[in-house]
Amino acid sequence: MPTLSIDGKRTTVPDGATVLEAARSAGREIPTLCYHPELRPYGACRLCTVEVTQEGRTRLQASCAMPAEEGMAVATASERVLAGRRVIVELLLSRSPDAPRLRELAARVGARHGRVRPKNEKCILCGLCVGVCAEILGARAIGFAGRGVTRRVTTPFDGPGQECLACGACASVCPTGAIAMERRTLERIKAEGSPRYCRYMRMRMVPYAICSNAFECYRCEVDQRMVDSFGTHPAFVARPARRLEPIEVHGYLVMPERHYHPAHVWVERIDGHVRLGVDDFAQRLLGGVVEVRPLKERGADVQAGEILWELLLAKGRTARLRAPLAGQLVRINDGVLRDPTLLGKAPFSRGWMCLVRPAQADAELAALRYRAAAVPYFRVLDADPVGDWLGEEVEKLQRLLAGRTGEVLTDGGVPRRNLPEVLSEDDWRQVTKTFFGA
Amino acid sequence: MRITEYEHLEGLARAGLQSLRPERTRIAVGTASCGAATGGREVLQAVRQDIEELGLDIDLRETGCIGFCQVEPVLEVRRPGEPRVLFHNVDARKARQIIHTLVTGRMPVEYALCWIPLDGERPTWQLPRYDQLPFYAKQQKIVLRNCGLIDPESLAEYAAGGGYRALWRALTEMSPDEVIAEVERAGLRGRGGAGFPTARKWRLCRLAAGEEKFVVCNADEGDPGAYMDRAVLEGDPHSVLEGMAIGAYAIGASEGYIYVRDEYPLAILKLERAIADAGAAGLLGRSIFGRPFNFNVYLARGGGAFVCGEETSLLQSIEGKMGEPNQRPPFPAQKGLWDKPTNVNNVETWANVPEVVGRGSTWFAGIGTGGSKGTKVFSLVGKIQNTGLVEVPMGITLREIVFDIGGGVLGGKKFKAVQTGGPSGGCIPEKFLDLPVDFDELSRTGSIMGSGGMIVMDEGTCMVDVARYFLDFLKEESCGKCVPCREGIDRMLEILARICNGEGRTEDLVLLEEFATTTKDFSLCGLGGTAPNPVLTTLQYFRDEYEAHIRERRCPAAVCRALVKYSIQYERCNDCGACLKLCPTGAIVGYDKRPHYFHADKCIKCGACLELCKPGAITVA
Ligand SMILES: Cc1cc2nc3c(=O)[nH]c(=O)nc-3n(C[C@H](O)[C@H](O)[C@H](O)COP(=O)(O)O)c2cc1C
Ligand code: FES
Repeated sequence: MPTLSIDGKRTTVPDGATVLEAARSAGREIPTLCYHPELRPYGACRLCTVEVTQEGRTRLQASCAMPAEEGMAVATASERVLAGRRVIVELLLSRSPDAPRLRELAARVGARHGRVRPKNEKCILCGLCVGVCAEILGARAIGFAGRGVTRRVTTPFDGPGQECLACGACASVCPTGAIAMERRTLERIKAEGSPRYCRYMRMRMVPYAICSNAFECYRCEVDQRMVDSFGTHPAFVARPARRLEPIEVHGYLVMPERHYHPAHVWVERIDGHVRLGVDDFAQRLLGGVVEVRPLKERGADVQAGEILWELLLAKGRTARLRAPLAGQLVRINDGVLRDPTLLGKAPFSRGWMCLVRPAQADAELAALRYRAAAVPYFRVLDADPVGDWLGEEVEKLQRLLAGRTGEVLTDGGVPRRNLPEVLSEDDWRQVTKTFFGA
Repeated sequence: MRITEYEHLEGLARAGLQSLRPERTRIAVGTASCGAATGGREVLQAVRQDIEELGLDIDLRETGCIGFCQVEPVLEVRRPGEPRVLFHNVDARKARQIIHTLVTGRMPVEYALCWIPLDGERPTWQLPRYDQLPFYAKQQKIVLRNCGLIDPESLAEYAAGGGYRALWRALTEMSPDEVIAEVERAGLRGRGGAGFPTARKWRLCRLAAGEEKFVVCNADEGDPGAYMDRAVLEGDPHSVLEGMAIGAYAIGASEGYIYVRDEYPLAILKLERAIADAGAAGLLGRSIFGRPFNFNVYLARGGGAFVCGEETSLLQSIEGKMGEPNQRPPFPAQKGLWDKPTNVNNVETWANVPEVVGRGSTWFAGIGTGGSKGTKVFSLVGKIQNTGLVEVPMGITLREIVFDIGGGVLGGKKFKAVQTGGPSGGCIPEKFLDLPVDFDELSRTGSIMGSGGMIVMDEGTCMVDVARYFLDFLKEESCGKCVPCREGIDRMLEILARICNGEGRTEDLVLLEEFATTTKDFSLCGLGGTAPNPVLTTLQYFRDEYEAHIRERRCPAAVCRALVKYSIQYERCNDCGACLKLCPTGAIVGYDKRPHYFHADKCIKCGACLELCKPGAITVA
């Protein structure tokens, strides 16, 4: 709980609070534009800049992205701060002279107007729309392109954008009204969305709902009720859905929001990369892993289906794992090389295997089974391809081991003993062939 | 062979000396990017062909940049028992003549520039020693200690100069904390621009929580015209690797990345070779020197955006994301690559490290000024006699660099300003020429040390035009994320353009100052934070030029096209009529053997007549 001084007033704030939050709790008003309490600070408009003195050094810092620390002295309205703020608003206003929000800001901070040529652009590139779409909806339907003065917000490769949910969250946060919901987008979704999922379903706020209003939400009673009850754009309250925990399915753990390859490697998408690991079903078959031997070096190009690792197991048995997609091997997790037991202990987190820059992520990931996240307060999931597949795998395993070496599976189909130890050489080869394809 | 004992290292050094001083003649041609650009590869080809045709027993090598770009391509000859001789401005023909003379047993000193000592041999010919040349006299080589002198592809030759002994010393005699303390006592500051104390950064990273840490070498070198980092990577790649290994040991990192721009293919080749050689010798990889220390280095290629040199953007770019800066804190030392503690240093900083640790902090701290120790490499370009890479001790004056080393302004013109620190540095006027060059003094003038660009400007330079030129570059390179940098630079450029165009208004200077100050104070990263420097320094030191443009609609240096007027001085004109025929727009009227005059509306100020006129009758003002 750091204590700092805000314009001379001692203020204690919770750990992790920002200077902006501290100032607001001390009753000081700092103008902001690109800040939103539900989003990660983006720090681009610089309007919230304040003077921070620490260890005898004074610096200007954007308060929305600056963690509050013990002993800081913050000046929220020094002459330097006010002068800069006026110029920032002037720069923004000359970019978009008609935006009411900016005019109001200009009046508040006393910014001058008309000293430079107006540009008449609507968008001021505050990034709120991009942030909402990526962080809250996980859709990434819009992003930035271009640099410098040519920077703009657009859909991937300026194309029609397959990721857009037409949820309208971007338009709801835009401070200048630069985003309008285009009929065309709605038309497209209408045209191609054979099961016409309701946007609240796509935001994972309801388990399953089909739109009966041709995506004209203003005509929809449900939409009105949702907005009323949340008091804000629904996207901002859909947050609880994002906390991910492994779920037990047929006796095995499944981590939501990952793709599952038939040879039991999971794939997680992280920005431009994918992370790979071994799923829980495979872990149970393998028993304890003694050593992980990467067969491909970092930097190497891998093909889909190519063998990536060899795992050394009990009794000298081995298993080999295949690459679920093609790409370049960017990193190998040194952690599992050092300590192979991580694989079993934390299969979905620290026990990851490697990071790959995929060649064609979209196409290849689409071919894998995906487990969506369930919303905590609704248990049903409209479809669960991963669960279905696991069910089949369990049956396969039961058939394969039936009558082999006594009783090795529990009733639920989970191995009871260390399979590499109890199975004969041939049987073990049969297991790896069936489940890892190698 | 894997090196695990000190004797192995000594053996390698002996082999290196043997290769530098073979029992036969050794010829080395400078084929780094700068040498290659002036024809170094053709020279190499010619020499190779001659050696084959004549069946000579000569050891032919390629070497890096020796710094004196003015006299490139260079070729160096060493015969057993003699010092090295450096030949300058060599081309294929001259190279053949040199070889043919050498065959007769004589040293063709008539083509030579100087000799370079190696082991106390004395020359038998009349030739200056390299440090008797004004260009080298005031230089002191620490970072460039091996550049142009060794074969960059030879690990042994690097070892011959004491290479990898500092790493040995660090790993076998010092604890990580002692290494950091040594660097701290030496007073080494980062050469990438800001001059941040290196030891402080290392310690921050060492103390940061986390098992996995990274060191990164910033070889983005985005400043146009600057090439000191490229010269080091091409001429002495092992010095960077050794520095990084020492840093990694001090910090507790086991992986390093070198972020090189893709436009440096030769540097990438040399680095790849050096990494492979060092790996094979056990100087990188697992259990280095048989000690429990693992360190691997990987190359990351950058697309070459200026902003990717900024450390947070650079790390984003290595992770495969868009190279855009993030606000610090968190600093890379707390949360860097893949969110792990990461230490970023510049190429030149890393290349200093082996010397600091190997020769000791006392020696290093003895060079330079109170606040800035050691040397700095500058790329000296512009309107100057001797262009090249110069390494000088901190504290040397600008006058010494420009007039002694650089040989003064080109063509006997008058000096006007020197611009330091790359595109976002400032212009320093004549009155500060006696300023000692170090981090703090330069920033006191409003400029910066930056990564070491130094552009000399003469009286024919318009300072408003200079500010406009640099802002134009920065506008293209701003990533556009934050408002002050994106909009501020654009607006300043708009104002500068109209001043140059003769449409300046009286309130423009106030406006420029306001926008410049805000952009400097409020920007997210150092690009915006330094971008206004060209504007602010020219406004401060050359305000009269701005005022002449605005009040009198006049460009004192006669550069801004919209403001200059061409005229003919009749008393000098010899009525040859050449300009009449040349003028593409028919702006010069008159008849043969009669005085001509300008049609001001038609003149597009292309300057063709100015260059053509023999008696110098055409003037611009
Ligand atoms: C716009 C911008 C460009 C930069 N370009 C470079 C560069 O090309 N090379 C470099 O070493 N540092 C560059 N820097 C400085 C780096 O951010 C960083 O401070 C430096 O790499 C730290 O290394 P040092 O402590 O060894 O100086 C740049 C900074 C900014 C703001
Ligand atoms: S609100 Fe802090 S930078 Fe925009």
